Parts: sequence; structure tokens; C-alpha cells
Amino acid sequence: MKKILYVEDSRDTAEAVKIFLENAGYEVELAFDGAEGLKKAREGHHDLILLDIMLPDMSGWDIFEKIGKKVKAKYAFLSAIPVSTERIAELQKSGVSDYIMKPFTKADLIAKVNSILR
Amino acid sequence: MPRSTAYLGEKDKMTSILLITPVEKLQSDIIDVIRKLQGIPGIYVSLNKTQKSIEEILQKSSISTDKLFFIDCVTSEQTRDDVLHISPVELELLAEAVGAFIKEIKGEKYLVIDAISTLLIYNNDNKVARFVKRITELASESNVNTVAFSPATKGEELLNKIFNFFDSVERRQ
Repeated sequence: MKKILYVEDSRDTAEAVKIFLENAGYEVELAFDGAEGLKKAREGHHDLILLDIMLPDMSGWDIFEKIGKKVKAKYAFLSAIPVSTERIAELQKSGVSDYIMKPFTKADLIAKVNSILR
Repeated sequence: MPRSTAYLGEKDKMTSILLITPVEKLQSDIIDVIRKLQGIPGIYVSLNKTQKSIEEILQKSSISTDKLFFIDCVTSEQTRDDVLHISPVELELLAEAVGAFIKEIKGEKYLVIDAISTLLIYNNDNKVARFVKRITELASESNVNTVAFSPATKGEELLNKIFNFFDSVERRQ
């Protein structure tokens, strides 16, 4: 079973995403701030690390910069902030697999995650 | 007394600025701006994260939020009595609330709007442009320094429509 770490400070959002992804057959671990996310990412052998853009103690980008090259996993951002496709392409050049915009349907989220982990 | 104009522009002159920032740097740019304006009463319109999250982000960066008045457009969950919760669809109500805060807070003050492009999820770009025009007019009439953040958006249609409402536009890398 593929393992996903989701770092998100909104517990409601995190729990909802966890249920969606678990129902799709993934094992999901949650972290609610950057420090916890970093710790779990370093320990966890995750296939995908989903990051919120803004977190209480550091940004999702800070986490990616700290471990993106050290912890082998796919990385994607989940955010409510719309960005241009050009910017997403630039993020992908930096090693980010995708940028998933909220709000999303359960089907959209699962399709995106399936595509990243295919 | 610290002066917001020291960051925003010429001394003793009200300024409004649109900061176009890479989405992954938004958090650090917001922290940077609020840190520089610390000590001055501010109105913070949160469009991307809840007031609770923004306050936690600022406090963990050792920034006092005592003089910040929040309008939370992300959740209707009331966590503090002095926070207004307004749906991001209700742009006229949001503009009225900003106007009311501007009148209520005496003396020097500033206005911060984070991730203005988030409004595009709920409104078309013409409606968002009208909102930005109204907000910048309200701020200008009352000499309130304004900082609006926006990551580059799809096709930049919105940014092209709102550039002119600001005294300056800064594109950060």
C-alpha cells in the first residue's frame, strides 16, 4: 500500500483528505505543522508528501527546500491560492510533482494523487 | 512611533502597493511586511488561511498580533469575539466591513489583504476588480496604507485589471 504524508494545519481539512485517500486505498499519515511534518517525513518512507503552502511554523516550501533532495518521495502542494500554469511548470522544474488547488472534489483529488503516484 | 510609510513609500504620504509574489514565498513575504508594520494598528483580511492560522503563523515568527484586527473570509467558525467572518462571495459586505474598521481605528493604520487572487475561486475577475477599486478608494480617502498580496494568476487577467488601482506594483522573485 502506498504511503502519503499530508502536512496541513487545518485539522478538518486534513481529516477529510485522509478519509478520501484512505478510501482510495492509500495509507495516510497527518502532520499539523512544519516541525511535525519534517520529523514524520524523515522517519516515514512516504511515497508522496502533500504540503499546504502556509503552515504555522514554516511554509510548505520551506519543508520542501529542507528535505526535497534528501527524503526520497514525490512532493505536491495543496492550496486554496490559484496560480498560473506557468508557475506550476516552474515548481515542477524544481522537483514538485503537482500543485493541487482547493477546493477540489474527492474524485479530482484522487485522480491527481493517482496520477502523481502512477 | 513606527511609521508604516517607512516601509510603504514616501514619508508622510499614503501608499498602496500590490505585491506579486511567488506562491511558495507568500508566507515569508507576509511575515516580512507585517513585521515591518508591527506596532501600528492594522486590518488583516485573510482570504487563504483562517484568522487562527494567520495569527499562529505570525506569533510563531515572534510578531505581536495585539494591534491586528482580522476579517476572516475562510471560515465562519467564531474563535474570537473581535474577528469578523465574511464569506468571500460577499464582496460588497467585505468592502463595507473594511470601511467600518477604517473608521473605527483611530490614527495611523494599515490594511493588508492576502492572496487577493483567491477571490477568483468564488467571483469573476470583473467583480474582484470592482472590489479592489472600492477598497483602494476607501483606503485612499482615509489615508490608510494598503498592502495587497497576489501570486501570479492564470493569464494574469485579474492583475491586469487591478494594477491601476495601486500606487505601485512590485513583482517579487
